[in-house]
Amino acid sequence: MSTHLTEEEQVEALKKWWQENGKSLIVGAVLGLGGIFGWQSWTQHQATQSELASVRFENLHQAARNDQLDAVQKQAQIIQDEHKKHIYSDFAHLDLAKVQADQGDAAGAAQTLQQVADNSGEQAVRLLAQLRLARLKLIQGDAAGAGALLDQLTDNAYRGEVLALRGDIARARGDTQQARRAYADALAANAGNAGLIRMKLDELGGDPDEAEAS
Amino acid sequence: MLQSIRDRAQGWIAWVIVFLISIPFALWGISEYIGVGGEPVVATVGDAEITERSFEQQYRDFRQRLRQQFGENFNPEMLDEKMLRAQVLDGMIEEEVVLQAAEDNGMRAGTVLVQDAIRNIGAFQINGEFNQQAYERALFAQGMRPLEFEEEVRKSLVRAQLTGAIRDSALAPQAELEEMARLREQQRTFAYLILPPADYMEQAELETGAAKSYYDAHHDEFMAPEQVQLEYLELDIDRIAENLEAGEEIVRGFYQEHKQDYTTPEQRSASHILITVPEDAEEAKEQEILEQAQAARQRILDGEDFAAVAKAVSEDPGSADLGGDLGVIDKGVMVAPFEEAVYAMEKGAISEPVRSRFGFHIIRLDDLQPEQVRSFEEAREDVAKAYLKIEAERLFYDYADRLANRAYEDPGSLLPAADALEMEVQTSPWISRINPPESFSSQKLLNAAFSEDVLLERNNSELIELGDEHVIVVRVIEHQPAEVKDFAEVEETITRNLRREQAQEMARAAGEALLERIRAREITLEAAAEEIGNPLQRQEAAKRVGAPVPREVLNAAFRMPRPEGETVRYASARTAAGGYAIIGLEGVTDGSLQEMDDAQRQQLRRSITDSRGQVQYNALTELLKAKADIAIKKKDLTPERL
Repeated sequence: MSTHLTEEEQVEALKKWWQENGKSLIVGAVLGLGGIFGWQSWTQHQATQSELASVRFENLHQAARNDQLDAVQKQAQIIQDEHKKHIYSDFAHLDLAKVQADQGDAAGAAQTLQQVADNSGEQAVRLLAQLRLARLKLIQGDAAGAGALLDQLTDNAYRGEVLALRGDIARARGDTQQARRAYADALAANAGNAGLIRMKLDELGGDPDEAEAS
Repeated sequence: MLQSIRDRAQGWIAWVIVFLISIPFALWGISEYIGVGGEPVVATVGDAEITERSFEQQYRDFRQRLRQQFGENFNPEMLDEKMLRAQVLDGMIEEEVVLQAAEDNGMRAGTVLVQDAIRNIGAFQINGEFNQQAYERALFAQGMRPLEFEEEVRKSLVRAQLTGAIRDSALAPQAELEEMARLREQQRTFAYLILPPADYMEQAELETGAAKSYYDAHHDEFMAPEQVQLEYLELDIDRIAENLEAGEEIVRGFYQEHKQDYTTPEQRSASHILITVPEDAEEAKEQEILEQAQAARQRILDGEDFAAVAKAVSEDPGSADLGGDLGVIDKGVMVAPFEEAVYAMEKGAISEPVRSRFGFHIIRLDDLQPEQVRSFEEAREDVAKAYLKIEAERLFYDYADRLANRAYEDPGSLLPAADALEMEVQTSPWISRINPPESFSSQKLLNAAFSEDVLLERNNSELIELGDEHVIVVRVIEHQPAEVKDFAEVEETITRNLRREQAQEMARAAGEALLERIRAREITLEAAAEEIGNPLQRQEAAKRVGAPVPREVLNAAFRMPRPEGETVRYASARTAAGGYAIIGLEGVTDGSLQEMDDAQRQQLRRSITDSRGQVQYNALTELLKAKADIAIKKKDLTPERL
């Protein structure tokens, strides 16, 4: 390759290069820029959708706090249809299940929670839905089903709540010893509604460890 | 090869290539360079950093809240600082974890929600309405920019959404309400017998030397607290005021100096009609507007009501609807030409159009209250009071300043300060931190008196504020370290306590023997009561709370399992007074949700939901934390001391 080219030769070389590569260069640039702008507008669209879901959930949550079953049901459906798989849809259904259960529709609430337990993208929320579902199962008289659901909650997730519910399940089956053990463990694990658990435990004869000691 | 690259790199093609390459760097690199790195970091959560600065800020706020909660009694030494700091950091990490989980799941708070939230913050409101200036001022005081603050609000909204979604949706099914009502409203019928220790006091016999050997083994129970005796100089504005006198001449002079305080200045109230002139109006246009103004004035002169004309034609949005009424015009508030006109008018007069930068005003002077001066004789008492107050304050701050300086310059004695101020050094009684005399019970004073500088170095304290315009400087003259009290001093107490303990033990032994016989059906509870000569008490249908029974007995009665059939169950309890109680549970009546009204049921449901929701939310954050990538960079969070 010669090291000295005249200006004319340079221009000539450039033209040749352009003819060979020009097309692919333009295509590449268009693809690149298109990709960047496409990505940007896609994330922008996602953000707008999320904000919309957020406002919708906010309204639904307010309705749930006021026990307005119809409104909650309608809005949960909208969120589910328009924001598939979004966590706001999970939250909307947690609220819906709460209102359904409060108004005596345990079966409907169980169905709603089952949906969250099956579909939520967040593991912690799936497990929570399972825990709540287990309580509904017990209330509907399905102690075995409730126990089976709790068995799936591994890694000590929601431990105190699980133990409290295991106590209720054992009591429903008439297994006083196991119920006492579970209630005592639930209290030690800081389960909610400690006063209620304490009363149930006392009625069955108290903490098995303490009973042996005295 | 290299030579050819070098040669070609000089052509303009090379520059084009360099330019193209630089574009992505410019677009994606700049933010990295702008973001200021290098700030000390306390912990990281995923990609987010908790900087030392934000941590210290949070910690200060937290302490500030504690201080407000404890008020006067706040004593920094009570706090385990290390634990508090760890607690604050833990809270910050948890917030960050929750926020990241929310954002990873696509949660967002849009501008509408953010604006709503900000508008509802009381600190940004004036008379219940959001106020932009108040908002900016408040942020400025916090050293924050609106964008930063809005980002904080956005974050806290998202967190609150997640928290609320989990917490408020916890189930409280009907069956559980019924269970709660059944247990909580349960009533129990029982009889009980108490063996009080007093019955056994007479029989309690101590071995000789028992008190002494207890004393020897438990010195730590008989410590007299550390005490100090103080010398002090105290300045109190009330005392200073008591010793002041207000002579006639001085008060008169004071009155002359402060005459304006006893003068109500002239007050003028006015109404106006404004015809605005645009800033860029040409002369012809202005002339035209002036004629409009004159026309309006003429209407009033012709007998039309000023207020009516103002309503019809005035272009001052603030006053037109009020008939032009502006109320009292204080000096220095209105634009100069307007004010000059008002202060030159007679009451009731209607001015010629007055040109201000807003336009033409037609002014009516509605009212004129002439200046009023209270004479010295009228105001004498108030003047004397004001004089004494100011004079006492002046003296107080002068003395306090000199006291602080002299006590500091001569840290080994209070005498120079006392001489300079012509005061007497006073001596306090013995003072302990635990039970100080009333006038030395200020926490600030105690902290100072027992500080290293004052107690060990024996220096004068700094000026300590006991109240508004009430200060003291102290020094320690005597110090009594904590020490064991003499045996003679405590012998009686120990003997009494030991005998009571023995009596309690005897009551327990007797009670247990009785309980065994009762359970073995050798004797009834009634017969046992007769045997020991104490009355048997009965409680019909007691509730968990409020029955007139010793609390320990009531609790024990409710902690017993249900009796089966007709059989009475027995249990024991120790009363707070050290007695031994035998309880026979006869019957249990369950409570019922039916007996509750709607409000009570609602309340019951809410309490179950709240408690369960909170626990479930906490458990959820534990799960999120376990998955998050958390690193605490600084093990020891205590700041270095000076």
